[in-house]
Amino acid sequence: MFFARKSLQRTFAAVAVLALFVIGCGSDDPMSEHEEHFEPEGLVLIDSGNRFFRYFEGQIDASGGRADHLEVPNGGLTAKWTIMFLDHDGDEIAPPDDPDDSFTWEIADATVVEVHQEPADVGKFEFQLRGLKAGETTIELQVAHDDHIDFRTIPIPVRVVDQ
Amino acid sequence: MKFTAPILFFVFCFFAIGASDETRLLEGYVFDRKTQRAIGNVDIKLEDSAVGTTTDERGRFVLHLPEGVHRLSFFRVGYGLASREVRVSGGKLPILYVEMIVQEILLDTIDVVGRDAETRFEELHEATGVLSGDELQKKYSLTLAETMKNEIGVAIRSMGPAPARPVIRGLSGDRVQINIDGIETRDLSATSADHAVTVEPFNAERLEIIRGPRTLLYTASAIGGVINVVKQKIPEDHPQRVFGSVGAYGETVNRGYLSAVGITVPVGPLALYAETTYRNTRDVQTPIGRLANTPIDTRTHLLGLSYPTDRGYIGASFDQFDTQYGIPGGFIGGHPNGVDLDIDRRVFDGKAAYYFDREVFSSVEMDLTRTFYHHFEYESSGNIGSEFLFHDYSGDLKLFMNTQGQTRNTVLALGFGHHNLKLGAFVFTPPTRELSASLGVYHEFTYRHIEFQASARYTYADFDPRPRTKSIADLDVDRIFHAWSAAISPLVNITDRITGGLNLSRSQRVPTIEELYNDGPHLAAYTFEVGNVELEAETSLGFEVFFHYLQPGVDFVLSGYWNEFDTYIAPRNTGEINFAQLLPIYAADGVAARFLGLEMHLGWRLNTRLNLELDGSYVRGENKDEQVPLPEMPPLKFVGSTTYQHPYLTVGGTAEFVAGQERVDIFEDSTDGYAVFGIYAQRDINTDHTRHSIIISVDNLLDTEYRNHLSRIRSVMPETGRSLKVHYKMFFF
Repeated sequence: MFFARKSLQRTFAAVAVLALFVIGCGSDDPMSEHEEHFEPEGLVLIDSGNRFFRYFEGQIDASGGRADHLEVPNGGLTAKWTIMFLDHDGDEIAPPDDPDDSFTWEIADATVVEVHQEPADVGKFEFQLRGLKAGETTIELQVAHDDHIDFRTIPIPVRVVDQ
Repeated sequence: MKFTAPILFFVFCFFAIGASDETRLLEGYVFDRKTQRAIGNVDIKLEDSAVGTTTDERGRFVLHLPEGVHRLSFFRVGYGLASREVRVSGGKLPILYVEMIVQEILLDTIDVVGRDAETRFEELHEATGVLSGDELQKKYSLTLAETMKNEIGVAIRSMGPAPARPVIRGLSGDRVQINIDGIETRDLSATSADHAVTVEPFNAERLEIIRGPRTLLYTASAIGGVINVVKQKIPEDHPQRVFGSVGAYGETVNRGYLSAVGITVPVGPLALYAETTYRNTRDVQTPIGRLANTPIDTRTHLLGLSYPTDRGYIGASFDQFDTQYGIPGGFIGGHPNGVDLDIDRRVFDGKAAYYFDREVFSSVEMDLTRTFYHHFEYESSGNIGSEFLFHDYSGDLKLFMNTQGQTRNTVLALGFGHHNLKLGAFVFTPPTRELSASLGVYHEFTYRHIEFQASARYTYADFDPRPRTKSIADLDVDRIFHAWSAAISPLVNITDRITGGLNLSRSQRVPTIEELYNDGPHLAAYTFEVGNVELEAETSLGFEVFFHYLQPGVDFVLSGYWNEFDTYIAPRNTGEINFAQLLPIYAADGVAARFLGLEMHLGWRLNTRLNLELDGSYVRGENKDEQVPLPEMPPLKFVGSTTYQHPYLTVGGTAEFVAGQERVDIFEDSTDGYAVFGIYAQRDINTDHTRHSIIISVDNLLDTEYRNHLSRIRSVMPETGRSLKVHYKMFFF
């Protein structure tokens, strides 16, 4: 009887140890995909063919009469601006065509300005800005890949001015 | 199928060690008769025998005794000798309670103080490298690094409060290994400043820093030292009754709190250990304002089960560490609103030991660990910036032997590891598999009154990145390392009161996966990290000389060290920026480097109630290739403390003096010096089966604005301001 009880206890212990092992090995979470990424070093904003704003390697390039900030009418929309990117040599490259890449942004004060895209343009590298109230804020333009950011600008100054 | 072998091994050991039951386990507690406080480090000897043990900080001890009548003697410095007769026969032994009486005269007449340790090496280790009992409770803070920050030679690398990690003698990363119960804690805290250490120290019995030849029993990489957190999560002895602790902790500087329960329970022939903790803090307050995005939310659960017998034990534990915390932003390269991290780590440990009766072989011990680790880094928008995942399998087999008339003085250690690291989201480091194996030997011996510790270790490591990323596609990046390390430390009594010793070592550290293959942005570290597949093993020669002066009431340790590296591998700020993500580029490179340092510890017992302590440390790191200081070197630091022990209340104060750090790397800023002060009071209340310990303390009493030179965010915010802390723990037994 004693022997049987002891065997039972040992069996219980062995089962418990194995159960802990199984728990320790189980339910490994899946990993998100590891992929190659779009890595430009700058961008230009184009308004009807006019490259009016240039950002390259961490700095706004206002040379050649280009803007050093983005100006937006209070209560109104800017023209539709198209984004072209710049590679390491400063040459223009087209926006990524990977469906996982999309255009995103981060506005410091969203009560001053907002981004407007037509429903068909969402995710594309074209946008308008709408002034919500007169004032200043910044916007960071980004390329999102799935749920992380491949490329970002510095915060670009935005001024909303009364017409 | 891959788990079949270890399972069969454990099942085999399980039945093998249950075969003998010739002795009985005696459990007891030792108390101070006047204060009824538990007494730790009491030497307990079975008279006319070499059998003995010491009490832990709860005054508890266990002894295996054969049937018969025995006399036990109890010795502790400052107390009169006590002895008890114990009759061991069939049936369950009652718990033995022993009271000891303070004998103050002894303190002034005996020549040897605190000879609780078995060897002079252990004595020195106890004097400078151990935090336990009341001292541990008093110094407890919300992270392991904060808890240990005022130990000799220890500094903190940080990036906000959560990811703090200890730095020892200026050495960081995996040059400092963190173990729990002798088994390495596998996480990514060594690889980056933003990664948290996955250890909750609240329920630790003891924290110890292991240096010298003994480190090679665990790793060849930890040139700085091994920090061992003793928890006994797999009980090695069978408890005679339920014991454990319930605790809570709170501090005002972050409106944080912690609650914890730890319990050991006898379940038939089994021993069960269970522990759970919950920690929550909000943003940290500094003297100049709130440090945004620094909350912490951590849950830990631990369950250990063992089958201890007189011939050994077999057991397993499951340990989960789940934390979410923030990294502040607002500095160069940082996101304005910071980054959030979410870490989930699950560990399965299996351990077994078998005690031999043979003269040569003392015991064989085996552990097998399986770790799953998953870590996300989120931008403030909720986007995943970085993702790290690994599965790690590791194991050790240690054979303890008795040679040259000494017990367990020779150890053969065989280890293996399989580490499979995957990276996701916006990290370009390739997924990499690492296979490793090691063979180590450790030996203690005495030659002409000189005690020696000697060790050697061979490490094999094979790195295989798959699939290869664009940047390394055309390179031969599979790497195999053969690393050899050895150390020897002689120790001699120069006079009755002065012990002197040396420590000579030659170490080779295998580079990490990150140091070899990193190539991309690391979101929460706010860096673009570039590895170097050409790196060779980091080779160093170490020389240390130390003296220990011990007389009644005075304990003084002085040590000086010199480490010379052929290839010191460090990620250094290149001064360049990655323009896609606007991050500073840190590149891993091996440079010739030299570390010179001094450390001292003075303990002075003015009388039976008043103690003074003073610790000091200084390290000077130099990049010999470029003739510039190494980055992130801790500045000169002194920590003074005083303790007044009244039978009903212990009060004390601490003062920390840190010099400014002007010796900085090319793209590193200097840091001003500072002095901060703290006070505390402790009250213990003992009942028959409980001990309540309450500690109230105030850190940074003067709300001083100061900055830690090893903090990545020191440019935007100082360290924490004044904080009231309350620490309560109830031990039941």
